[in-house]
Amino acid sequence: MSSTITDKLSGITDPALSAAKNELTGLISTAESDTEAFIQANARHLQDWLADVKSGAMSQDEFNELVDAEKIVAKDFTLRQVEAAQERTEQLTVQILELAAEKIVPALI
Amino acid sequence: MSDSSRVTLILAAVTAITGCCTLTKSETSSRLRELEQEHIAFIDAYTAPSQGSQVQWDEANFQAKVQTINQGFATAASDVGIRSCPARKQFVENSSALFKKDASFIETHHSVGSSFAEHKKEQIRQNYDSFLNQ
Repeated sequence: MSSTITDKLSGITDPALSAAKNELTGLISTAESDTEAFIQANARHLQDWLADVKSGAMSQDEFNELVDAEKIVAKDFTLRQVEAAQERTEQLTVQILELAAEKIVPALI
Repeated sequence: MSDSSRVTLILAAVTAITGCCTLTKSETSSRLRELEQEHIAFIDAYTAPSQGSQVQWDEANFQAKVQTINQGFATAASDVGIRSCPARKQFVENSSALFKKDASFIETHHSVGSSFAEHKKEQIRQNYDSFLNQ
């Protein structure tokens, strides 16, 4: 899929944008192979939007609106991930320790 | 106060603080899906039928639609199953902000292209699915 994003950006020949192009291509490639479905979908959407801007099916205004909204969706998703990760960490550490100390060890002795 | 009354009071308080997030889940999910459908229908209403064409602009009708949907978000935000659960409360606030953003964009442009509309509807579904399917 990286070749696809490379194709989409092939019209940009300004050397000053070379680093940004490479960075975007690399990040999209990494996101596409991530295990999280939301991250994969985000990368896929961005490529679809870029293709539509390139073909003239979508204006820059419309593209920017989608990007701004996606940032809100992604930040909310990220915050929820943090909460879920904290809950999971607590379950796999504190709760295990308490279970062992309060229920298991008394039965072992 | 009797012991049984005290226990009932404590249980009610515990349920109010910790239980609402799970006790009202299906009801809340239905309410959120309604908001999702209203947002999608709003985008459909302002999608130009073909490239270069425009939706006939009716300012009063637009404002009425926006007010109705904003009221839907406000009602959902005051629902006990949502306001008592911080994650849901935050989600409704964010989804309401997303709708207001789209309404403002449409108010400026009066209509959106079909490609944008398809991407926007996919984004709205992604937002609700990522929350409701977790």
